[in-house]
Amino acid sequence: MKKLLRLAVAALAALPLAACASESEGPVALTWWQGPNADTPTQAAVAACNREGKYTIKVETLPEGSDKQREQLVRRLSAKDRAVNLITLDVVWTAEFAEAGWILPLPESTTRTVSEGTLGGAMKSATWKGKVYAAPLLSGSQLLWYRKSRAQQAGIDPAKGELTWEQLLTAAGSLPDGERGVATPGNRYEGYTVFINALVASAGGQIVDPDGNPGLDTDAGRAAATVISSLASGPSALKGMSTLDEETMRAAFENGEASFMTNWGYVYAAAADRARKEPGFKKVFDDYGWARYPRVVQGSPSAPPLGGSNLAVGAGTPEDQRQSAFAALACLTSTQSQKTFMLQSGIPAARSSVYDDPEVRAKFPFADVMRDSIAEAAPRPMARKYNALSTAIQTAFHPPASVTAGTAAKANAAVSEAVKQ
Amino acid sequence: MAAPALLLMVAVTVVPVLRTAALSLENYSLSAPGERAFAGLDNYGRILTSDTWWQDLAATVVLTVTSVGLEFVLGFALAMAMHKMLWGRQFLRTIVLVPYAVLTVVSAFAFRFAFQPSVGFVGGDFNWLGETWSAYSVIVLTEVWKTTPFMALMLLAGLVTVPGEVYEAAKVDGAGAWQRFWRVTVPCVRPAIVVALLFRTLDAFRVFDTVYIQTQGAVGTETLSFLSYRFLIRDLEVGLGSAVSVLLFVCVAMIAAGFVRAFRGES
Repeated sequence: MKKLLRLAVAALAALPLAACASESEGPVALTWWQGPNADTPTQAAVAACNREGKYTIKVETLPEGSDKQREQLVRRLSAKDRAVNLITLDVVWTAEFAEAGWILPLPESTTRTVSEGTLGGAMKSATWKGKVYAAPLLSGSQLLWYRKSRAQQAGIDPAKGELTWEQLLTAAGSLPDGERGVATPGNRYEGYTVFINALVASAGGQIVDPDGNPGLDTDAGRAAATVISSLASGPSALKGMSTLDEETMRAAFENGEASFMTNWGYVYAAAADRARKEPGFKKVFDDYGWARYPRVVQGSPSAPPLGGSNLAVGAGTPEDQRQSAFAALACLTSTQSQKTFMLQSGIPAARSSVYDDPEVRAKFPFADVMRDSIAEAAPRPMARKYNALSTAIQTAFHPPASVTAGTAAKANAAVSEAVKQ
Repeated sequence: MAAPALLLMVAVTVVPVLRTAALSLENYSLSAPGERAFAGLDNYGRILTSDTWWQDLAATVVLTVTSVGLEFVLGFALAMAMHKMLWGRQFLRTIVLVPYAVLTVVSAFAFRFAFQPSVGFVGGDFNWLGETWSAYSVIVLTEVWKTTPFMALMLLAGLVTVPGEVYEAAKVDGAGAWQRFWRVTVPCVRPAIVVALLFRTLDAFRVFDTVYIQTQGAVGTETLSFLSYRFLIRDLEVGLGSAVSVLLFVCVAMIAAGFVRAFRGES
């Protein structure tokens, strides 16, 4: 027993020494916290950046789903964890993390490097109160995906990018039973906020203004509610609309129940993959069409949803490691690294020049539409209480079948309560 | 001799409870540590005047009453069967216990997948977790499937303590099966009934995992535990979330007191 005790004491005494030793020698050790879906491209980018020899990046994987990732990160960051150095941030976290002092603003030189050639929407999502807090890594916007043959049958040409929701729903309703579906997010989750925000912004409104005042009890809010209600109560509503998310929408579009859907760019890569494995699906894949997100108001361009993720430096990073962390951040978000990410993950890059790359254009025939869409996208509201705000909107608008024009006023009150909290 | 045990109890239960109570009086958000301030009873006022609290309380009560009620009826029937069986008793007890050995998270997923439209084995296109009434049904079914064995076991423990002579005496006095059940069995196992109902009610009132996995609180299925999780973990409102936890604690204490009282009054 005594021996054991002595051993334990010795081990405890040695701990701080060991920690010191590993910090002072060799390249700086940095830890990058990110979601689980980017394994291969991450490894390539990390290996390329580590080659410079100034730092070694180790990757820690967070759980699936942005809500769960945020829960884990926030607990570490509010405890000032020294080992949270590089963080993959969802575009909507910037305000909250910056305001809480969990992430460091980028130094001027890094800001210059990362903003060069980066698309407008993506850059906006990394900025809070005039300061840049993160480097856009991946971006992406939703497009209107459609089956070309069915759109033709319904008598519309979405490719022009001028279609309104009303025209889309009327045309889709004229298709035969079982093909009339228009798939949009409907589950009570973040993707539903993305949808509502895009509708409100396309109608010229804002869910909350920069001062935190809610803006749903307006013509724009009511127009958005009207789109959802005519979709949910019309012939194009899919069964199980109230639980639709990106993956279930993709399934409904692939199996033909839905002839139209609003979804991110990854659906194309997924369909291409399926067509390679299943010769029977090739015909469907060749029928895939894409266009700018539908408009709410005729004659005024839509404000498509903006997604993606940015890279930030955690505020718990010790002073002597910060410079390396910023260097790593610039390296990981370089044009070359973004191209690797885009080619391997199918998620669009945040830098304009990547879309001109021949390799990228061959794999993403919709590159130009996507680039314009990201540049003109409407970010979700920037707010410290973003999470509470988003939950309030989802709750007020859920289930989609319960939405009426009056939902806008109800949601307005809920948002005002959530922001106040 | 009891000192170490007492100290441990204080460290793991009393301290956190007191700390939660103290935090509930603060305006404290993890995302704005600089604005931390004492707020008195503001958090409680805000919660008790909000619609969310009362909706969630109603949802919790409905889920608790329906699931505990069903579990009680089914559990009693199972306990009687296990008690009266002449052969295969061990085997029946073992298989009845299987659902209780399954983790709640696992059974919640199993039922969620079973009720998934078109791919779930329940079949059909109906979106069970998308409508209020059907989502409640699935949650209650999951809870009942999972905890009926616990109820049955508790009641069986009560049944075996009833001496056989009492039944014989009742039979001699000319009591039928039905009368024997109501006049002999039920009064004799009353303590076991109260304990089983108390345990399960307290448990059911704090339901979280099934709701988290099956609906995330959508379509009106948000319970009080879920609300406290939402405030504390998602919205990072430490003060507000702690106040919900304290109120939940008060509810649970009231339920326990009610049961104890009913038990005393009857015996």
